[in-house]
Parts: sequence; C-alpha cells; structure tokens
Amino acid sequence: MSNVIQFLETLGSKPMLSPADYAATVAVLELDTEQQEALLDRDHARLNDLLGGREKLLCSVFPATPDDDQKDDDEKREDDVPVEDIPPESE
Amino acid sequence: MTQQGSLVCVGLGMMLGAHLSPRSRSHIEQADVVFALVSDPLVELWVQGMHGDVRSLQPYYAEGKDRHRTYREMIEAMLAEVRAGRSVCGVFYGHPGVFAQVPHRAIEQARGEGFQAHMEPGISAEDCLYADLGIDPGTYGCQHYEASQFMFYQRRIDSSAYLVLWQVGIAGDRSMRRFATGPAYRRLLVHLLAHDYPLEHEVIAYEAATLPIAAPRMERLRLSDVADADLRLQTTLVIPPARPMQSNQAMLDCIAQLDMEIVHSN
Repeated sequence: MSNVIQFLETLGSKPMLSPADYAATVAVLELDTEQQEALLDRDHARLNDLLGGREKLLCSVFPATPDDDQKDDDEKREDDVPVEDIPPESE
Repeated sequence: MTQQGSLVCVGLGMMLGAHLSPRSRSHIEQADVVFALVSDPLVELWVQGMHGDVRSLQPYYAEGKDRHRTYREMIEAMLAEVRAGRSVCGVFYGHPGVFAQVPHRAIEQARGEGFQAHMEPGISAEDCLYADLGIDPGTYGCQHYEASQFMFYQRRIDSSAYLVLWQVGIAGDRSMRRFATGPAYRRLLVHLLAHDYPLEHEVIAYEAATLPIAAPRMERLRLSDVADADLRLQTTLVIPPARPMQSNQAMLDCIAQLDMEIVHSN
C-alpha cells in the first residue's frame, strides 16, 4: 500500500482538524514532492494521476426496473448495441 | 448439505479509512479472493493494499453494454470462485445492500446452490447524507426512490416529508446502457416533481465525500435549475418538505376515544 494511501487511511480514522497539523504531518511523510504538493492542495485528481488510479470509474449496481418488469424488455432487446445507436447522453 | 466455498458481501462505507468496520475488514483480509466495486479510484487502491488477490468488477462495465448483463457477469464471477471452494469476499462501496442489486443477488444465488453466504452492513451514502445535511429522517418522514423508477411508475409522494432521489444522473434511462442522461430527461423529472413542489423550491444535489481530504457536495439549487445542473452517477437529489404535515383529525379523534376507554376501564 502506498504511503499516500496509508496516510489517507490514517486520516480517515483519525481526522486532524487543524490545517496546521495537517500540513505539518504531510511535510514529514516519506513522499516525493509532487505527491506532497497534491496532498497539501487536497487535489484528488492529481493524487489519482500520480498513484495510477483509474481515470474513469463507474459504480452503479442497481437497475431502476424490477426483474419481472424487465423480462419483456430483455426479450425484445439485443444484448449490445453500437454506441452510436444509443440516445445521446446530453441534449 | 452446506458446501465448501462461501460468500460474504461487505461495505466499505463512503470515505476511505473512515467507515470500514473491523468485522468487515477482517472478512476482506481472511478471504481467499476479494472482488471489489468501489466509488473512487483511490479507494480501489486502498482495497488492493488489503489483500493479495483483489479483482475489480470495473471491467464488466462497458459503453453500450446492457448493465443487466454487467450485473449478471459480476455475480457469476463471484459465484465461480465460491463453487471452486473458495471463501469469497465481495467488497462494495457504502452499504452492500442499499441500492445495490448485485450483492443481494449473489448471496441469494449462493445460498440457493447450498453455500454459506451473508451480508455485513456498511455506512451508506444515505447515512452520510443525514449527517452532512443535518437531517433526521424521523422528523418529517423520508421517502427514498431510485430516480428513474420514480419516473417509470406512478408513486404517491408526501411533500410534507423529505424525498430523496437516487441515481438522478441517469434519470429516465430505459436503455441500461448509458451512464448519464441529459437535460431533456431531467426536465421530464422536474415536470413530474412540479406537480407537488413549486419550481422555486430549494433542493440539494448531494454527494458524500470519498476521501478524508475532500468535502461532501451539498449544492443548493432551485427545482427549476435541476435539469441543467451537473448531475452524476453518484449524485443524490434531496428534496426537503414543501408544506407542513397535515393532522389526521379523524385518526386523532379515534385515538382520543380509545384513550378515554382505557382510562375508564382502569
């Protein structure tokens, strides 16, 4: 586990309320300069880039329609459709 | 007869490091194999550091792919390991049983095949919402609906209670192949809500903080502005009460009568 993730885990369970305490703690972590700066700036996106986290992450595991209402739709639809045939996300 | 192989689904909670119970962590660490579906890339890295064999469920999503199929594949991936005799831990963000079909179905299927399977509760986005927004669901009552389901089906809502709409970022999606719908679909949702709420009614776009260095999103906006707001998969729309609770005088009279009868009988 990286030092950054370990620090975030510790911070999650032992929050520091003072910005000064936070900055002082980050300053003595064994991290490279970029990671320290990203933590000091509380830059989530930058930290993700530096640590090699996923660029895009999805997390929906709940369908709107109960399965018994879904069965008829399932029989009518193909398994996958080309992206260009799906109604646009933004209008 | 119970077979070898088991499944436990646990919740990480919403914030890295803050919400994972010792019991759930123990399940993760002691499992033979871990499957993970989380809400933040850094949280995924955190889970990967807890166990030597963490398999992300992210690859099962794809643009244009029916999410019903995605969910079936996720379940099958976990069950395949259970059938192979392994102790499997499914790790999910928040609470694994709140707006989360995959863990429930996986457990149901595992039990149906004779395996031990159970769920450990976690801290959900709903719990964080109550804490962050200072809402007690008991004060006026609280209704929760998945946003698209709210649109697809006729629901009776009580505008003197809180109304919370989940997955509002994909409101109105019937394709199950998109990860966002746009303003046109949200205008339909606003139109539906306008039957019970004035368009100038203040609502809240809420997202729980996933890192201890971040703050929750608690954006207050008018109902009329919801269609054009930045609404994502993880956004929840909180609609506070728009009118006072109305007394049910007929019921109150019945209760008063009952109270008198009890006093007199004593």
